[in-house]
Amino acid sequence: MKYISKKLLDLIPTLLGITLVCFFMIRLIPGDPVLNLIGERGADPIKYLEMKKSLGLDKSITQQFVVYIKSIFSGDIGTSIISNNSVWSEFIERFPATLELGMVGLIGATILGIPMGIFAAIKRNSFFDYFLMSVSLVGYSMPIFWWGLILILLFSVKMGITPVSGRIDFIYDIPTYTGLYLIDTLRPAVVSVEGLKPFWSALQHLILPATALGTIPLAVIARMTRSSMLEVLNEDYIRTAKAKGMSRKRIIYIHALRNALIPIITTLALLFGSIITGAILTETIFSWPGIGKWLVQSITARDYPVIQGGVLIISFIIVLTNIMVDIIYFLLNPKMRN
Amino acid sequence: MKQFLKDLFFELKKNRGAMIGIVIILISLIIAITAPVIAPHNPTLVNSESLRLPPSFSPGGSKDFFLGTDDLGRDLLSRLIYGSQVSLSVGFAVVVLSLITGTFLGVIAGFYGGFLDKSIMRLTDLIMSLPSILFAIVIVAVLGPGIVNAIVAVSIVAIPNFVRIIRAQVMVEKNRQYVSAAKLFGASNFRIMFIEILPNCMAPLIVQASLGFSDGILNVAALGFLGLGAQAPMSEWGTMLSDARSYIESSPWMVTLPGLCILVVVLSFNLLGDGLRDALDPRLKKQN
Repeated sequence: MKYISKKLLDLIPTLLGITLVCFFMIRLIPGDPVLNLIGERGADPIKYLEMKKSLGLDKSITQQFVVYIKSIFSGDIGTSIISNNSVWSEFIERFPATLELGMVGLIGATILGIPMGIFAAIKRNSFFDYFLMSVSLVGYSMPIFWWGLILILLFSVKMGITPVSGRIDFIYDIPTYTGLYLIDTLRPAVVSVEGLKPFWSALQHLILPATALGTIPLAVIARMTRSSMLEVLNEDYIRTAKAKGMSRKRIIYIHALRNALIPIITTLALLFGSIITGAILTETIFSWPGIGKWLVQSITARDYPVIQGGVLIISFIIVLTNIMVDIIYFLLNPKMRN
Repeated sequence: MKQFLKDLFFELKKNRGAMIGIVIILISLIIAITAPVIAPHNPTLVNSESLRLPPSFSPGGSKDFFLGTDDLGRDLLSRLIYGSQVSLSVGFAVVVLSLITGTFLGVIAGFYGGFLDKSIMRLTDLIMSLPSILFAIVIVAVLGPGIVNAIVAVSIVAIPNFVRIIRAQVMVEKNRQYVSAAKLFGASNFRIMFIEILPNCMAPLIVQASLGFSDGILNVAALGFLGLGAQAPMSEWGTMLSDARSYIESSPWMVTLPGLCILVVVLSFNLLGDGLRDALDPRLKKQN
């Protein structure tokens, strides 16, 4: 309990820091932020003052910060200058797309990566081990913005199997329920009308971006599993189990894997942040309508409130996930409790 | 120090991956240095008569342009050659900036402890809580796009790695006898930190510097790809990829080649970093 409350207390300065970064971000832009926002030309004085007031820039810096914190607590994290929608509603609209992409990528990477790592560890120094570790080093070094384009080139342009962009064919109008198309297209209301076609379409659209996004996590998971297994396989209790004449399978899957999983789970959680980074690049390549593409577009459009609010939400999510992982890790690992 | 490097190279020679990495790095370094001599064309020379020519060995290619041309008729091979200059200097700049700042902060945090340590660690926590590219994007959004700002952004993101490694090492080293001896001799804190302790923290620093090279190159290229890094007409591999995207169907060579260059260079630094870690690890254990 003491550990958990300490962790939660540690959270406060980090969250405050993130808020400060986001607060100052818009104020550190060289030149007049208002002019930056509405453009140098055609800035009539009335509009200028209105904008300045709506951004709260007419007050002193401490007052501005108090106002900013207050509005965050009341759930208002800003309004897009381009679309005039609230940043939160724009985020919520796009988050499921990124969530679906990230989950499929990460789950795929886990399902493939853990067995690959185990196998490489058991067959240590075999050809398979060398091959797998070389491939995973290449995967780890992969510029995914290039990898995504190569996948498009191979599977969409040359073979014509997969679509190039978007989440689903335009002909299907799927009522959003969870926002995750793989689930929404399987709802009885949809299946009874269109059959499984919308689901296949969503899956076809998802497969390339998820592959691109999952590549680096796959490499990391395979390498991590291998080294974690190798470490565990050298432990005394494994030797004891061997001496007791247990079967090889039982030793590997029951005794070794369970202990090897702890660092692997931590790695998985840390990959969450890199998934977001990957999403920014992957979504740009595949025109995937998620938060990554949204952020990049707002930067090009200089929609500062969106960048500010978007960064704030994403970093809060990441910090909170990391804390949750720390707590789960603590609960899982009896050694940590002392 | 000389003996240290000698031993290190002896260990590295046994590691095939690391040797491959070193060879590739040396080759790209030579290419980068001799770029003005070996590049067949001016990399920024627009040639309206030879737009998007395929490589010379495929149908329709011209023997003047070995790897073809881009959408403005610029020679791709020359652009790739000059791109190695950009990427290697970018990697170098990122490592130097983040290494100096990170080492300085890490030594201070580890040596003094207390409030100073806490504040520095909070700051690194903050940077690490944001995904690297996202944080770099925030910085570039504030400073404006461009290669220098991209380097600054990526360096800031890389600082925490160095701080953490050095801090942990300094905390171990500062309790050793040679430090007490130096104190007895009346050495200043500055001297103890940077002349006595720091040279004993080299091993993990070298590994991190090598890995920092690959991260730096990759991240600056990613920013270039997003249009936030190097700007036209600079021959930067990430920016070249971003320009080539629209021609992926008609001129795939424009897409494949720059990315391949990024992959090879990043891979070689990762190979070297892995090899260095393996070579230095037993030494680390022996030391402790």
